[in-house]
Amino acid sequence: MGSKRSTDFFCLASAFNVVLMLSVALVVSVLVLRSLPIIHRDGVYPLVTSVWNPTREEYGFLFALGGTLVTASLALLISLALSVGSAVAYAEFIPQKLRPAVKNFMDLAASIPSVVYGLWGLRVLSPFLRSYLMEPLSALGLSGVLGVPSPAGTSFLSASVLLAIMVTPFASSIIRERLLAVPMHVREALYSLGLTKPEVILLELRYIRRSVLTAMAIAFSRAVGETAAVAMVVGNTINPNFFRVFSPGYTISSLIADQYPNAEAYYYMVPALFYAALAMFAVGFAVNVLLLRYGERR
Amino acid sequence: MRMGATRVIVAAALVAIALGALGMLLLQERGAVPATTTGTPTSETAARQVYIVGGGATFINPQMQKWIRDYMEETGGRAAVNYQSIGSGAGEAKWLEGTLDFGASDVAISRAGYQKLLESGRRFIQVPVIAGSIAITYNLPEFAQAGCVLRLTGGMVADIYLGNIIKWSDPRIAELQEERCRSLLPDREIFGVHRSDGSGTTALFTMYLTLVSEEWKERVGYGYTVTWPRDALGLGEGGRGNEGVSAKVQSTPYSIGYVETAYAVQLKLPVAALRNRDGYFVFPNETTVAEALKRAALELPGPQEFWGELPLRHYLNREGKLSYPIVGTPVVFMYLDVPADTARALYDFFRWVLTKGQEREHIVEGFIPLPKELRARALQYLELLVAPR
Repeated sequence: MGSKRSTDFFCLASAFNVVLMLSVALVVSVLVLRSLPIIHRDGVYPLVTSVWNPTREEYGFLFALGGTLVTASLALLISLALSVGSAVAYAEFIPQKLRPAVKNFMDLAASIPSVVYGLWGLRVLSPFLRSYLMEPLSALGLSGVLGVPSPAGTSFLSASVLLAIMVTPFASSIIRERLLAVPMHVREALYSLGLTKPEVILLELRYIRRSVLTAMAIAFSRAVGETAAVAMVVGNTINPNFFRVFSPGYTISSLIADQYPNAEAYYYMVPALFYAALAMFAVGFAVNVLLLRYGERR
Repeated sequence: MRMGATRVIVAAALVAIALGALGMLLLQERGAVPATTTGTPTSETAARQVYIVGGGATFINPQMQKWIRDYMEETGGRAAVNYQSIGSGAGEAKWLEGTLDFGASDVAISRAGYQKLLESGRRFIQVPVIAGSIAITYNLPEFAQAGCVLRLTGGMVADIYLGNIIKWSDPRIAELQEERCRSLLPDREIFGVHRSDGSGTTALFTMYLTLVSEEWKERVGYGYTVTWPRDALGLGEGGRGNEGVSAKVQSTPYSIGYVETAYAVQLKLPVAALRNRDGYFVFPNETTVAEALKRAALELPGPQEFWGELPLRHYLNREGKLSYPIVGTPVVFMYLDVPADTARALYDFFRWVLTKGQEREHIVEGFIPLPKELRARALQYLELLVAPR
């Protein structure tokens, strides 16, 4: 009887699984199909050039691809510090009584709509970063390397910091749960060796490092795809020097949001935007595979 | 045992349904399933209500909604019109596909769209419905305090966005200003704000710049989206929508931007006086816009010709002491080979728009009615909808 049940359940579950996989396949095939005209015309040229000139039907979106990678990677690094820090604080330092409140607060932060983050990023975060980080560093002569901040402070850096703040609740909750799940005997063994608290925490983090990678993979996917908030703070400027993080630029999702409504007035812009989406999907997928390979499930 | 089999069957059915749905989606994606026309009942009973659905340009959306509201009120709800603000390009594409009864664009049908239209062999008309203009707005605290108004020429606007003029204190700008304001121009870099999303506003603005600057024409050109040379200097940035550009100019001292005049009026932004072809400095308002547009009325191309270069050839930078140089008319387009009741409904609505709809009480603040010369031409074209076929 029991095994029958589980067979039935297996069938049902696998049916839904098939549907899920098929829809992913469908999304990818639509991306490929729709971008065929421009792949046929330009090959990989759009991926490696930064000329977006619809008037001449030229669509090179390296500036947006680079911008996506730069903002997402920078966000990942910042979020790594934030989420590990907050998870350690939660598991080791925050008293038991306060934990539910802190946990609820983090969950609340995860559920704030991204447009709200965007508004805050535009009105508060960007001017703040400009006045207290970008301006002083530029004044020190770093503007040649890192770019010149714009008057509103909208830049790759602002977008990265905002993204880091947005994805941290997700990443942090994963790390926090794993940290709390470190077996008691391991913990006791470490303390019995006479290690100090910081040393124990470091060893515990090494113990769960695969989970940290998984958390980062999730954070990265979210950062790559985030549109509404990024479009508000990244500056929306075609900027081939996407490594100059103080200057404004584009990410692929903000480029698509900006250009799609009038894209059909051009011959190749719709295929070009689908191609850009495909490239973004490929990058997100590749990074995920890479991180997960070394992550939880080997 | 039986139960188990049932569940397997249910699961299989679920997969089959999902597969079918996905297959349909894929087919539709490839255009194998023809798009259906929205809500045009085929019944011939005259008493039945006809729904017409249009969509396109976001700029005229507030005006469209007011017209629709007022028109439906006047006709006692017998007519029903729906307008979706989805962007000029999307409006054009959806209309070409046949999902909209009429499309609306800030400028006109694009070259790509016009080519598709010719290939389809369908008959259609294009009609201007309202006048629009683009205001140059700026943020100069020194000028605001002293009650000065910025004066510019088209060539200078082009030079600013090209990056040829860097600072407000540039002598070329200074010599245009009133005596008492000249010394107030700050020694600051000009921050050039533009639309980051593709827009008819940008198309019209860049068309004007190609007319007044040879260098602009060669280096940049015109379109819904262009590459802005000033951005490359780190002195320019995009804003999303008219509201995005307005907000950026308002919050960034020493910036300059361009927006639809309706936004500048509603948000009370400072507006620069622009030198017209005859050498006079003019603001965009009802008089100056009508003055420029009425000269174009007689030259309006036929209803089925390519209107893409209409602003370039006939609207922008017109002669006349009082003509404002950056003016345009959002255009509505519809097919002639539609069911008679749809044609009638379209005719009735747009006839109302071009006559009563142009009166002050039906115009949203900041919009400008068409000059009567242009209105007369538009009404002529509209007659084709109900002409015997």
